Amino acid sequence: MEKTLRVLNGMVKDGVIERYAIGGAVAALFYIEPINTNDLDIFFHVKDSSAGLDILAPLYKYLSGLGYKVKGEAIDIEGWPVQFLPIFNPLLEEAVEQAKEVRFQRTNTRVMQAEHLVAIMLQTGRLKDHARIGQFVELDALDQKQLANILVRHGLIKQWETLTRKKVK
Amino acid sequence: MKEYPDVTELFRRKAQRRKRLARLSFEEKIAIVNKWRKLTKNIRESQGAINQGSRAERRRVGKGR
Repeated sequence: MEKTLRVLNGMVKDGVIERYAIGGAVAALFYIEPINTNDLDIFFHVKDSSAGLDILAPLYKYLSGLGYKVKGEAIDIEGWPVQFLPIFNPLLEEAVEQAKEVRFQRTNTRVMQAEHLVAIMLQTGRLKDHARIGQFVELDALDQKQLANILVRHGLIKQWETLTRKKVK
Repeated sequence: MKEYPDVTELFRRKAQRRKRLARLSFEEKIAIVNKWRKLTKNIRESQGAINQGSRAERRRVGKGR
């Protein structure tokens, strides 16, 4: 994992991506008990977002140049299938902007905050997302005030109410 | 009426264990995930080898008829 993160930091340094944050199950690991996962989801910003559908092309070109191979929808970087996901809505933008700076062994990286992860899972709304939200709640991994603030700003209160069957005041 | 064992304590301990696991460091959790990934990979590879063996066996039996 550390080697993978070093490659990602190299992408930022070399200007291939502007900023990134770890999301998905690996980010969830930061806050809850270990869960079995195989992919590393990387949400990223690019300086020039006019590339449209080709937004991944420069990333793949850069990584292929380093010898990494595409594996389905991901690219295998030092043993971790990494899935690059460009920011495609304001919630993700905020989650990447406000991600926590953390250290993995001797390498710095950025992990989305628990409250953003929960909001993203709520927005995605698959069964496994809902189950994982339950784990965050059960383990007291959330700042309720911050979560409520995010849910209100991103119009997710209704989804939260449906999930919890309670009114968020 | 049939009696069932009281599992309250069992569930309490399970919850405690989950909380303990959640408190592990990020590195420790990734190490656990890596073990799972290795195990899954090994199982898949063994499954592939077994399936390949079964196919070869079916072909051998088929030819013998």
